[in-house]
Amino acid sequence: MSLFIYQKSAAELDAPLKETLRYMGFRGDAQEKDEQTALKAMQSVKEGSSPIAVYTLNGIKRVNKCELDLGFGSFYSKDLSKYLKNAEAAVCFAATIGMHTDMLVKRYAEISPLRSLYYSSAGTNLIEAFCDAFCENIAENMRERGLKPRGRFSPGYGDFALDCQYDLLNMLDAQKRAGIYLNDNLLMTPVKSVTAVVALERII
Amino acid sequence: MDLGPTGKLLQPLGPLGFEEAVEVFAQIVRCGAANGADFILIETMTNSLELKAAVLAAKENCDLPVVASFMLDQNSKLMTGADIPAVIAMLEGLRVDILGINCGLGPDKMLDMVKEIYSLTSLPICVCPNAGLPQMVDGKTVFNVGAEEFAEQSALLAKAGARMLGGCCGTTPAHIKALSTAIAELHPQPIIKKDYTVISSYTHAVYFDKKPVLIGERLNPTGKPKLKEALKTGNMAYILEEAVRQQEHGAMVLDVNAGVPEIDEAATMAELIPRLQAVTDLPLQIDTGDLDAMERALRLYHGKPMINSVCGKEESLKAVLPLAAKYGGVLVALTLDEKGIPNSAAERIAIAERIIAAAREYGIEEKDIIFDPLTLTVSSEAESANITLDALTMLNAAGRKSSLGVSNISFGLPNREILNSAFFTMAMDRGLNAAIMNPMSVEMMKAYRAFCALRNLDAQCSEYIGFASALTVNNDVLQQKQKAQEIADNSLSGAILHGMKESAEAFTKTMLAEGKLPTQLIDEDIIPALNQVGEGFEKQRIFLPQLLSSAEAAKAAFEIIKAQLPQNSSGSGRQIVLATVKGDIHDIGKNIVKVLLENYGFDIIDLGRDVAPEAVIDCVKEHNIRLVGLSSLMTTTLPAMAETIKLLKDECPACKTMVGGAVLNAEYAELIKADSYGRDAMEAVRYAQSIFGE
Repeated sequence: MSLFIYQKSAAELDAPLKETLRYMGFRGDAQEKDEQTALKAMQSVKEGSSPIAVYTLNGIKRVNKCELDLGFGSFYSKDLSKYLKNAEAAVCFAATIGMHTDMLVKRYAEISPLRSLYYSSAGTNLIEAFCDAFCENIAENMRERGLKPRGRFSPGYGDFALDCQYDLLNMLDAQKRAGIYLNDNLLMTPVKSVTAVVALERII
Repeated sequence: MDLGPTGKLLQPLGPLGFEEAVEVFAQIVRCGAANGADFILIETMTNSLELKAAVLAAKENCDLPVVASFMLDQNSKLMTGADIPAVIAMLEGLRVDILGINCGLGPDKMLDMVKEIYSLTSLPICVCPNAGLPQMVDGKTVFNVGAEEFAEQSALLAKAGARMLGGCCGTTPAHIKALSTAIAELHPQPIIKKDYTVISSYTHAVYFDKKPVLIGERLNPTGKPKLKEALKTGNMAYILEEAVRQQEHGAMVLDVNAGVPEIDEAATMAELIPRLQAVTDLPLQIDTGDLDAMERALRLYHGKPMINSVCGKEESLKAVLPLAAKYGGVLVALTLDEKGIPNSAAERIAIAERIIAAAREYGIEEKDIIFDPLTLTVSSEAESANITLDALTMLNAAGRKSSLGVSNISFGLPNREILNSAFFTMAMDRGLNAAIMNPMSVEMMKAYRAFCALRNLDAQCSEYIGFASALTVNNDVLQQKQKAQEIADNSLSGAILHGMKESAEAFTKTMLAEGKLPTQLIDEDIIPALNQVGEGFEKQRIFLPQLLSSAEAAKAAFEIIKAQLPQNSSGSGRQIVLATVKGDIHDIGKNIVKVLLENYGFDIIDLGRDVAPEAVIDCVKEHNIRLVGLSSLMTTTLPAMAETIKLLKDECPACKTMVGGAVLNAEYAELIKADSYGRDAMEAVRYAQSIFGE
């Protein structure tokens, strides 16, 4: 199973301001000063981030109704099986924007929870934007093969257990390739990291 | 003997303690040394603190040469953020024998990195690239660097300064064979000794050169009662805030001193250094006369620190120099000895010479010493400034580096900033390389920015322009204040309602000065405003960011009021313990609840994140606590929450528990027998009020 790396500079990612505001909890009522603060936080987050994804292209063996074999381990999940029902193959990936946002969030955690929240929301926005860019890249690459990706499906969705991240991250060699660590409680460091499976379905 | 990463993140980012990591590596080193290893190869390190743990383990457990190799990403940084100069400063300080990079990238991507390393290090360089990286293009695998290409590109690395070459991931015997042929005829580049005086944090290096380095003095309790109190009571939030504030005002290094007589200085330093490095990426100056505290701080410090200080006394030289030799660091050397501080510049320089000679015996080079020719107040010693300035001239002429605690010059005199800033300019003009000063002092920063602009130490005067323009804006403060006050409806409660921290502070100060009582301010302005905000939040008229802005504005007002209250009246007797449960490192939610509860006058004991159930119980017992708030973000840490509650029910049945966090709901809270579930911070406040009978 070949391991691939995808990188895109943070500056090139399309992470709209309104998304950061939404993650913060604004509901369309942000003032100009809030927007300015959010923009500054997004700038700081972008400046220190190095988005990277490591991924594989996996075949799917359906063991039974609720069990799948993706070539590196079996997963018992009704919801993942349903998600991959029409898929011919799957992309497994781990992505992160790096430690910088964690450091900013921590720096202000005890001094100003509000500022921490700005950085955290800007980081969430950036990792989501990066995952979107990654999936678009997969879509482009798979078009020639007549395949298209569905929206990504992460451990923790439905009954797709969080502990599947162990196998996923190990298979992807994510600690070495992307600096993503998993602790005993299944939390990833850097915090702004994502693991997911992407179904590749035949374009009809 | 090969040492790779443990696979665990070190504290404070992860669970692995620094000494635990040292011991893991030490076991391997002892085994390798006992079985005939020729040298220790530490490789593929992505965290410079783990790299330090491995080097210390090697140095403490064998006499073999040590090669230290780390892995960089495409931005030439380690995963934990260190750039190349920062890692080199630390490794050379720890006295490894060879350093270099491996893994992560192909040889082509490593060329500029090797050039940079060669320009900075005085050591031989070792490089082991990958055979490129697989990428997907148009659905096909574009793979790797073949053996010949690998060899060709690696030869360029040798020409750029690499002395030891090899291959990492993806390379095969064919790659190594081709490499060996390609470099067979090449002569290694000379190893050039560098003369930089440099320190580093976990992200970057700071060089001592023509542009003076600003060392923030605010983390030294001498003459600072608030800091002293914070150190005594373990009020980390205050200390961390001082650190961040100094950085925001332009400090480049922070002096850290925990010398308060009533506390265990070594234990405090051991706690303080990692906590500070979690909130600031500035290098630290470890400032202590307690050798135990110094060694513990030097071990745990992530980077190459400044060590403050050694002096010409035999006792000091014998105690401090071995520590500096072992852990690395730039020493601050005070030019005094058993006879005290000499009255002439020449005698002070003579002490400096003796310190250099003594340091040499420990292998410490002159470039790793910065001399402090000492400042005495002009009010008691009329020639004091002249002597210090002459000593600076002499140090500068001899190519030695200098540092001064500038503000000592004005002790005992009024309006000290006038003298301090003038003396600072004079000292900089004599070649001062670093100053321990208050970066929050506008007068000192004026002197510094002006000096750098005039001496061509500020490209395009850009720092001066940024600083001076901000001052102009501040001069417009009156207008701004008026505007702010209008927005804030000309009242403290208005400022809090609108989340305007600075206005809230200004109103509080004015109203107190006008004779309003602290309790009046709390009852008539702050609490009604907070209630209004809280109600708006509960009815979803306003949202979390506004709630937090108001809470922080109120907190700022409280801080000022607190300072006016007699010390023994500051405790409300309504103590609540807060913690994020064991295994969980998310604490934004807990911190939001904390600031809200503080607003409503509760005293919070914040145990932080990843808190073991036993630690919660101990605290509850010790302080006779009536309410504990527990937070958890992930489903995987909910069992730890359940365990904490069970233990509390068993051992402290009178204590109530409230829980909150993204994955919790009322049903689950009931299942784990929590007394209350708080959907948001305001619900936590309401429950706390009900417990304390309000």
